[in-house]
Amino acid sequence: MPPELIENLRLELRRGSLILAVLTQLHEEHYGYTLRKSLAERGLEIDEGTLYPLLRRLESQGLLTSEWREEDKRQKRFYKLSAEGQRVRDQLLEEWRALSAALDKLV
Amino acid sequence: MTSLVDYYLLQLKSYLPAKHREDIAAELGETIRAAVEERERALGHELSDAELGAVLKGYGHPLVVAGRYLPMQHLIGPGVFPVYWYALQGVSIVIAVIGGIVAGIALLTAARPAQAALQVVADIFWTLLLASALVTLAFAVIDHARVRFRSLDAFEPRKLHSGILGVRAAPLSPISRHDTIFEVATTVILLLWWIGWLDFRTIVPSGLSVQFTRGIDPFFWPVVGVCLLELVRLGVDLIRPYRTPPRTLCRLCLNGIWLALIVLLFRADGLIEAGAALVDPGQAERAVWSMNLAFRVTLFVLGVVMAALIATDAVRLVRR
Repeated sequence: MPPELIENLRLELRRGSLILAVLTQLHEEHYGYTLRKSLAERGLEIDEGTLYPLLRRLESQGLLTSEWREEDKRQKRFYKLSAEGQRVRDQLLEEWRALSAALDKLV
Repeated sequence: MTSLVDYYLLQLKSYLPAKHREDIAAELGETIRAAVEERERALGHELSDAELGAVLKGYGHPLVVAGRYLPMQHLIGPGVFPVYWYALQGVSIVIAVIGGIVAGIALLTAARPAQAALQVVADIFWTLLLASALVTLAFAVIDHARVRFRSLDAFEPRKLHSGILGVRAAPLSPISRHDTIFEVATTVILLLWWIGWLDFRTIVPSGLSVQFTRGIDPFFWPVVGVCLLELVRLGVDLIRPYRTPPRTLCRLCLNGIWLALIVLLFRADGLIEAGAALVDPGQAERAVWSMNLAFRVTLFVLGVVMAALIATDAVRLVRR
């Protein structure tokens, strides 16, 4: 099996899961660095090149809100789940659980 | 002092969309600076240019990084693409078939066939390019306007067997595109040879030359005509690669004409004569005799093949 094929399939598998992971973590406010750390601590490594554009996209879709604020003498952009984002997260979680349960039965 | 990070961000900004340029660069700049500080704390000293370069390299080329922030774009989306691809193929095949016919006519009628053929090939190329661009543009507009193809939405599986324009297709009776392309190639080669564009004299042993006599003249236009009709028929097969009764009948008729021509050619005598290059009359006689034999054997084999094809098509039509 060519390694690039495995890599593509792996990325495909991860893509949707990352969105859900980010949404679940943003019930409390985070800026990019702490969000990345929080995900990594829970076993989900995500590189900055993926995370930041994803945050932008989710914000443009109305699922996140953001604001610039100073913390530790630095300007940082904080992200939080919007009301719409919470609804979407709940629906996606429901879908995820159903899918996970079905897969558990299959494998 | 302007650091490598500033240069990096400056270049990144030049690739970002104007609306979010400053915002994205500020956020990423903050992230990079935090990463640099973290690295400096770990190493216990200020990063050198080489170490800073290594950190920035980890982020990737500014063009690549900026590309991740651009909205996902496509000229023709996946919903429309299959129809677009099918249309593009169809238009290309139609142009190629029409171009092939025009090329054939140009070769036969032009005062300078070589120049005319090159001109036709160039015209076909530019026409294909223009047509592809127009089809692409049309489908890009369709995709952008989110036009839905109602006929696709109203797809009714039970009507599949009704074929096209009310002509029933024969399910599970496809025509192989590879076979059709092979037939197109052989027909074109036959046509080019017949009109004198391809010269196979080189396969005859050195010093010998044979050619058709004037007795072949009555067959010239009928063979050209049937070749052109064949190309049209094969063009249709490429666009719609499955059998329908009218097309089976059409192939049967064309093969019938081929068979009639083959029989007439087989029965005609003295179609091959020695060329001017021959000096030895004995050698010339043997060459003509062997070429006549080869010609007649070829015609016989072709006749058998044609008869078999006619019989197959006739059985197909009767069974339906």
